[in-house]
Amino acid sequence: MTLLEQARPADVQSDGFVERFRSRAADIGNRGLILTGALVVILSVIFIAMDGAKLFWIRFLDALANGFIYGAVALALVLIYKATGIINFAQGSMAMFFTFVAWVLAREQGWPVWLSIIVAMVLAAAFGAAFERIFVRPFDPSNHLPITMVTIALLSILDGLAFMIWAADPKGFPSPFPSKLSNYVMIFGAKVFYATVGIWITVIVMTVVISLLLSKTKIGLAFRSVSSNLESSRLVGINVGRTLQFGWALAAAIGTLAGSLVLSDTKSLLDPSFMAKILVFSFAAATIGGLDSLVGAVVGGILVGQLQTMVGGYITFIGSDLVLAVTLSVVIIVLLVRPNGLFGKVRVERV
Amino acid sequence: MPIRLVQGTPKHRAYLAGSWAIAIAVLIALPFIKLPELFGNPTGQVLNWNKVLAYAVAVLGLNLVIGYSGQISLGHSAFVGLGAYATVITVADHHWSYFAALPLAFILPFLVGCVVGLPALRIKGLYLVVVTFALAITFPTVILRYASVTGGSNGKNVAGTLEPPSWTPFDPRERIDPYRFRYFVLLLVAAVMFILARNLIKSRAGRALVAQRDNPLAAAISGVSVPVNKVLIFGVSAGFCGVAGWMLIINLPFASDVSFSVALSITLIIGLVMGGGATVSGAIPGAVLVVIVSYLLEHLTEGEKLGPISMKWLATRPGKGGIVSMAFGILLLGFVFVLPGGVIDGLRRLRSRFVVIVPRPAWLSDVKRATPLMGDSARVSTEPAEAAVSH
Repeated sequence: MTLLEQARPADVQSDGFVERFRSRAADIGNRGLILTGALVVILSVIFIAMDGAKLFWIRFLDALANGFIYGAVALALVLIYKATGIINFAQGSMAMFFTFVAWVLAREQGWPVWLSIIVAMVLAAAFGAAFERIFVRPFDPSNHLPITMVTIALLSILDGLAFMIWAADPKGFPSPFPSKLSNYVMIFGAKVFYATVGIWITVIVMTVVISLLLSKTKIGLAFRSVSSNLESSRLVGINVGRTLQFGWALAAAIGTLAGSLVLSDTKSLLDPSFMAKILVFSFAAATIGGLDSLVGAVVGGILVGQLQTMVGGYITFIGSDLVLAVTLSVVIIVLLVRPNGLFGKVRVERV
Repeated sequence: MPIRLVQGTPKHRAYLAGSWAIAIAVLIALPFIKLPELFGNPTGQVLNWNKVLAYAVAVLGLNLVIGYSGQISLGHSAFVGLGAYATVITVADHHWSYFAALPLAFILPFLVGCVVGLPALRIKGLYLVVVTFALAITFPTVILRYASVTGGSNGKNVAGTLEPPSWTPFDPRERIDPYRFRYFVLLLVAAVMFILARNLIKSRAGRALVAQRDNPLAAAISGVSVPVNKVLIFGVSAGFCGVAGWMLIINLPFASDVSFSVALSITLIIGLVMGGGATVSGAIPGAVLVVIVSYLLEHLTEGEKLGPISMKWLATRPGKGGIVSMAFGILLLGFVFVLPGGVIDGLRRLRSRFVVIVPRPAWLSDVKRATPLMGDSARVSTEPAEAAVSH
């Protein structure tokens, strides 16, 4: 009798076993997160010890703007990935193309910058929706290969078209923020330009708007439902096609905003390939964050932004040329340690 | 009414032998045929055929990953570049012969491919795409960084091309003959690569690959080591692309960072889809289409007229080169919608209008195989009896 009672709580109940297994899996997950956090702290301490806290702080704030932009583009990638299970390779090209449209409106038509960015975003959303309707919806959403090929085709077409219309010579983009040399604030001894602050605020506002859109509106609810289970959503009467269309439109608009934000820094110029590198860093951000997590995308973006600036700045032998290679290695290492990224869900599959 | 051919009958064998003979004859005659002026001067035409061979091997390599193992890679331009740079650097700076560089052009990308494919040990699906895309963007920056070895943005060339040795019938003093010689060298290498790929796919490893593409979990349960398979096939396909890089250098001994950008990866993917995914032979029409389309468009945009078509309006624009990638994109869209199986699938359907190959009926094969078996068993059973009698 006593033997049975002792044995029961831990071993006999099958639920207990599953529970223990689950908590172990969660432990491993948390260990990965803790490890990453510890690594970040150790690296920061080393960097501060190298050149002092002030330079580190300046670089940190500098990198934050980049990180937010990567986070924004990663957010757009994750939106489409969550809903359709594909990676939209045309994300960068759509952003590039409609940033050019904004440039045309602002520079050649003389519209106010903000108005032209918003109009370009609306046009991008319309384009994304139309493209989804015409070229993506005919395919079975669970068959990823043809849809991925369609996005590669779109990338090729938009890149070629932009190159044909605007050629390769770089163009200056009117900054939507006050961008004189005297327009800065001091944050704990670091000079931060209004443009940088503007990028922070815009991305934060955008993220809040998107999360409200997803959590409070009906289409947002439908979107979350479709991304969690496509078949069941169809059964409860959600128009899956229209919901995915919403995802495409949103992603195209976010990309355009992110493209314009990249150019609000006066150092970067507009040309048909300016989004390629940003797209790579954003891919890295989305991957590190776990492709299906919106929070992960933003955190991943910030991490990648910091990585880029810190590694390029402190480790002189790497310099700014090999930053991409370092980012690539970090992505590989993160994926080896945590195959679903830092925030991604572990999926259980059945045969 | 299509002709019906039964598999394994003399008629079917004659059909197969005939089509192979025609294919081989065409491949051998190709550098001697003069196409219309449209496709450039005779030397240019041979140069283009050489390019087709190199692209075919690259598309074949990419197909091992995309078509057969179901992973998408955008990084294969880097492997082509790696093979090309390995060749250029060893031949120009270390005085290797071109043929000594060929194994290196396979092994180096193979090793790098295994390392890059390593995340595939733990993950599945689209994460690999991200890694390979980053690789494709990274490769040119690495080339530019180590300019002292790679020549940086000026590119790097080898002083001497591969010249025909004296025992070959090709005359080095003749203008076009060295090109033809290189065509046959490349044809030989390409043929070896195609046979290797075909055997790989027909082998146990190839079937395991297709099994894990269609259902990784079920394949794993059936005893397929999915991660090892994935990593190895990624490495092998990278090696194929490295060989393609070597072939490009044999054709034109010059490598620069811009020729191995993501655009090349996308071109290869487009060639793959146009030719036909998950087929070995699809690489050939895919490569032909890619090379011809880009060649014709480049010439059109220079203001030349091709028959009735002219693109004068484009010739003065600085960004006229964009038309090639645009045309590729439109072609890709068209193929994905109209002919998702690629040219090969289209040809197969066309063939089925004229010739239908049916499997050998069971009774026919049974009788043929059964007769000797019965004879054997009869002989075996009688032997002891005879032995018994003799005793």
